[in-house]
Amino acid sequence: MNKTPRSPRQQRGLSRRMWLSGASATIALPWLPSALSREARAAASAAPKRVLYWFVPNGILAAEATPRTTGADYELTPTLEGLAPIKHRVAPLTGLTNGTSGYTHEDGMVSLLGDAPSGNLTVAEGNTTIDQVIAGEVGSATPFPSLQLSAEANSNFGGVIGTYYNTLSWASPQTPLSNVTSESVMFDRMFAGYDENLTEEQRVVRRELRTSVLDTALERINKLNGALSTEDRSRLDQYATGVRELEQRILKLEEAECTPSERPRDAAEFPGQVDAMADIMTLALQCDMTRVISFMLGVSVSERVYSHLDIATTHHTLSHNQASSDTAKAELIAIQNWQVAQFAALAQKLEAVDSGDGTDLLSNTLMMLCTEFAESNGHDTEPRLFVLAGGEAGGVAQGQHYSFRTTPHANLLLATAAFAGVDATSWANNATATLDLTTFAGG
Amino acid sequence: MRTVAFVPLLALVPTGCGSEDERPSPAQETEVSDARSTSGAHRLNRAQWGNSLHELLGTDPSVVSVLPVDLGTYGYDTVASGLATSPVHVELLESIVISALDDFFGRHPESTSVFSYQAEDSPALSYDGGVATEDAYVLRADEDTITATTSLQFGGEYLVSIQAMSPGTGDDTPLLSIAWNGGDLLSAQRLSDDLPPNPAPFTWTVHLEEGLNAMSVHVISDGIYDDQQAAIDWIRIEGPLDPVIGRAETYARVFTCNPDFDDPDLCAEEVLSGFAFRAWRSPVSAEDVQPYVGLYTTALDAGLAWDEAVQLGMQGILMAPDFSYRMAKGRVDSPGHMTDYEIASQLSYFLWSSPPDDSLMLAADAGELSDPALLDAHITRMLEDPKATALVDEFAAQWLGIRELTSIQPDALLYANWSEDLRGSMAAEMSALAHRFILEEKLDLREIVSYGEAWIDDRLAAHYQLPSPGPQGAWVMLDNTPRAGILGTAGWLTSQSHPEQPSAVLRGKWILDNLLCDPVEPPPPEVAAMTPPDPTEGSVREQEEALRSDPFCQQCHQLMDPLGFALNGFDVIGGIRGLDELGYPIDSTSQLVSGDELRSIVELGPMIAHDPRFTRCLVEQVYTYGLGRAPTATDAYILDGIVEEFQANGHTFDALVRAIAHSPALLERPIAVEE
Repeated sequence: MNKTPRSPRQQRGLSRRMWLSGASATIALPWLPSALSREARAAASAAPKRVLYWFVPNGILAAEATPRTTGADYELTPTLEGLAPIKHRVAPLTGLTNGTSGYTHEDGMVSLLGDAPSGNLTVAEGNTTIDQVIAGEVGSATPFPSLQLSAEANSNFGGVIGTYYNTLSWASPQTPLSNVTSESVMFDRMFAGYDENLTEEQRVVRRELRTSVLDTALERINKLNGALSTEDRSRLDQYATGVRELEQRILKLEEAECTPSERPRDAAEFPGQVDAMADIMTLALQCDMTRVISFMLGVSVSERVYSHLDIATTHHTLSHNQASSDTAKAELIAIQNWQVAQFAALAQKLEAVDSGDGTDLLSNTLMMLCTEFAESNGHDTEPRLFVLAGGEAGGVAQGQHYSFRTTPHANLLLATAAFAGVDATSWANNATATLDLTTFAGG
Repeated sequence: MRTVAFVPLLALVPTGCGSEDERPSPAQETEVSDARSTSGAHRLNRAQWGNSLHELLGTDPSVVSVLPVDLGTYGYDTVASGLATSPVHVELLESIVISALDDFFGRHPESTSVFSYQAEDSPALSYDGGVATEDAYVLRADEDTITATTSLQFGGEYLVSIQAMSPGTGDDTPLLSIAWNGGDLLSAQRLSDDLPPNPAPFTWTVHLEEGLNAMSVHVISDGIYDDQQAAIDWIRIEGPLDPVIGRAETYARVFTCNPDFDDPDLCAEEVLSGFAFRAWRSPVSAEDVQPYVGLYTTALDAGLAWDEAVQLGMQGILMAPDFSYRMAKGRVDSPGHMTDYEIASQLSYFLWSSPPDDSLMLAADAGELSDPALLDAHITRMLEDPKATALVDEFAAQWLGIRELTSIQPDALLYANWSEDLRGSMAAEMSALAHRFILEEKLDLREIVSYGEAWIDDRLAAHYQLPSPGPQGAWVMLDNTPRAGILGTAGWLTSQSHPEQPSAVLRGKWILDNLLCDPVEPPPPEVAAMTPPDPTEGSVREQEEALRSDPFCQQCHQLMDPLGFALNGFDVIGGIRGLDELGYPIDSTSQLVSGDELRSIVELGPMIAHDPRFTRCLVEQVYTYGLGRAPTATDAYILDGIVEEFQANGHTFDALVRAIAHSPALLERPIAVEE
């Protein structure tokens, strides 16, 4: 169902090597349309569809964020002000509710993309998240089935609870996916190890040897499995999955067409890091390294101090104190305003990338801003704010505020899967239908 | 677990104060959890991965820092059930392994650096006197020097070349010499008046450490003429010359044969078998090694050199799950018992966070580790080894909150004394205390909560208002101070504070969780927002107590709060305070559930030290960390035995380790419970 057609450029066989040898090429020339034939350009409307989940920790105050009116002429609230430059390409979605009332950060986390009711505090156990359902279907087309990134390394919490706080994506109920928190590490995952001095023949030899090594790892796992308990087998299965994905990556990276920009240095300051992460995500999407990304602006219960906004109290503390202090609330909304603006900034980066067929990368990417709470002091998980951006090439009707009353947010999750060409209806717990993103009808 | 600054109050729902925290206590754990059935495939954590590569290949253990942090579970990042493997782990592991092997084989071209200095390009070279002309540095003998400072990424042998000349004839020329980092002049060499390239550059080979190194160039007068001088054309520093240097030992352990003299294929097989044995910490059969010999053969067929082909086989061995997972299969004749090799691994990752060394592997091979006396001898040796500091850096850092301290952010506006340096001093004090109790001296572990000495540096002395211990830091007596033991360290107090205000709840809860292993439940769902304290409504403590006066709240808070109130005299960064945030006098007294009065930290420490829960909790903590699994209800009898041994032998860490090592918990293999 999800056999996304190979992009025209792949059919032409433009290799990564050719791109790398074009030394002057930069991130600004992603698809290099001039390299495409006219026919290829015409066919490029089948540009692959991507989904990107963009998480804000500690909730966004839904009551304050919700615009007063719906439709296209809605007025942006202070929380959403940052969307102004691309207001016609975004859609705030308010009032979505699964009808499950979580009341902790972990509940907010597992219900968000996992559509699971609540977190088990004895053993870390989520539900497979929608991004991973999608990656399971479309992931084989790209070097990375999916990417998990975070702009915050770790919460102060360890253990089971820390696992919930630090995890947006779960590959299975027992497999929380770790985030990469360094721009340079992520860059190296995509581009390192490529030696342009090698001949094509040497390159093939090298690749085959590397994959032979991984084959021995899989053989070894098979051999060991017979003697292991179910539980141990599932551990080694996680390892085997990693090995298989890596093999896929080694093969796909050779075909990938892309122009790496300068290797980023890890930014020292938070705003710089968020910006660099946005660059890396843009690069990953435009190079078709992956079609599924989940990104955490911070981890749940983030105690980050937003000093660049001249705010001295930690984010998490403000998320509680806002209930009883106007000053705290104003500061929290200032933070949320900045966070939303970063979402818009990434959308604008995608907007600036030409897909080669007259559409931009944003119109082929469905971005979804999401968070774990609607009201953070009471830890109310619903009804949460969602903001969609982009995806117009897949029919998403942007530019309006859509308000819902009884629609589960699981319907939206199914809609993001449908955008990527994946039918996930059998996965959802709480969905009643797939939200139609061309009309947003539901109510 | 840290919660919010103004903690949402629990209300409404009676919950009781059971123990369903994320770290269940064995007594209350009813189901047979995953804990005992999971040691068959126990992934190495980050630190263990790094140390394992270090032991095998001499790799810098910090290469693993690119891997995602292991969050751990049951309080420790060694616990198997918390060590899930994401694809990103495997992917990054592969790049780490390839890079470590390239390093080991000296294949990193970028590891050799060249630093060049020429007068025309580097006039800014630190130049003391003399003249930098367009094409040379001109130095007067015995008068002028130039200094080149370079930042080296690697230590090792470096080649220094200097192209220079001096007017004069025969022996009537000055000498040229260099000195590193203010040290002695190296062997001087006579300059000549020939023009390059006739005199080859003057060269020296020096051993340098990584980091900043300053080289000064000197001209020394020699001969009958005054006013000698020299012109330096260029300076070049190149190295490290042999990246394998410093790894000679690891190298020799891998290459036990020589393909130039021995049969290359047999030698490859020997090397790979030996390497697999050490990398997998277990005997390997010819059949086990065959796939890696196969990689070697494939690589040779593809045209690679012998050492490159062997390297590929080694890559295969390191990418096998046997390297990244500890596999406990049990004895062939008795699957319920660990093999000697499994005991060796268990013990070495417990005490060293590192793989077994040769001595342990030999002992395993000889079947000695099943002998209690010989096992004891190894424990003695291992606890004396420098690698045992892992017990401080890994175990104590997690148990006592030293790691938590690294990410805590006190409100810098309210606490102007706070600095990253102070954080470092705090961590050093906590580590020193742990080090003394765990490794240096065989002290009664229970006294870690009441210990009357602290290791402090000048910064902490100022923070504690104590006399300077001297620039290097020192142990000082804490008599007549309100501090004692771990709970009196600024670091611990900071780690259990909110950014803006200290918290009796956090501190009390931590004591219940980590010292008494008697946790209370997290706050129930329906929580009322708590308003920040009102300055007109009495002290912070009074306002908090009023809010928690509800009997439901009291079920848990009466257990936590009194312990924390005893520490109320310490602010967010562990400084002493007489007034709370609202300006009310501090009240550090409270009444325990037992009815006993608790007046301050001076009484709190001894009270905890004598609590039988503390003794058992110490056992549980070390057990969980060391074995990588939390004890379950079915382990209760094993724990009882360990507690007994621990008590009978002075409550020392040493005794505790031995009690665990001789117990079925380490020697027997949990039989997996199949569903």
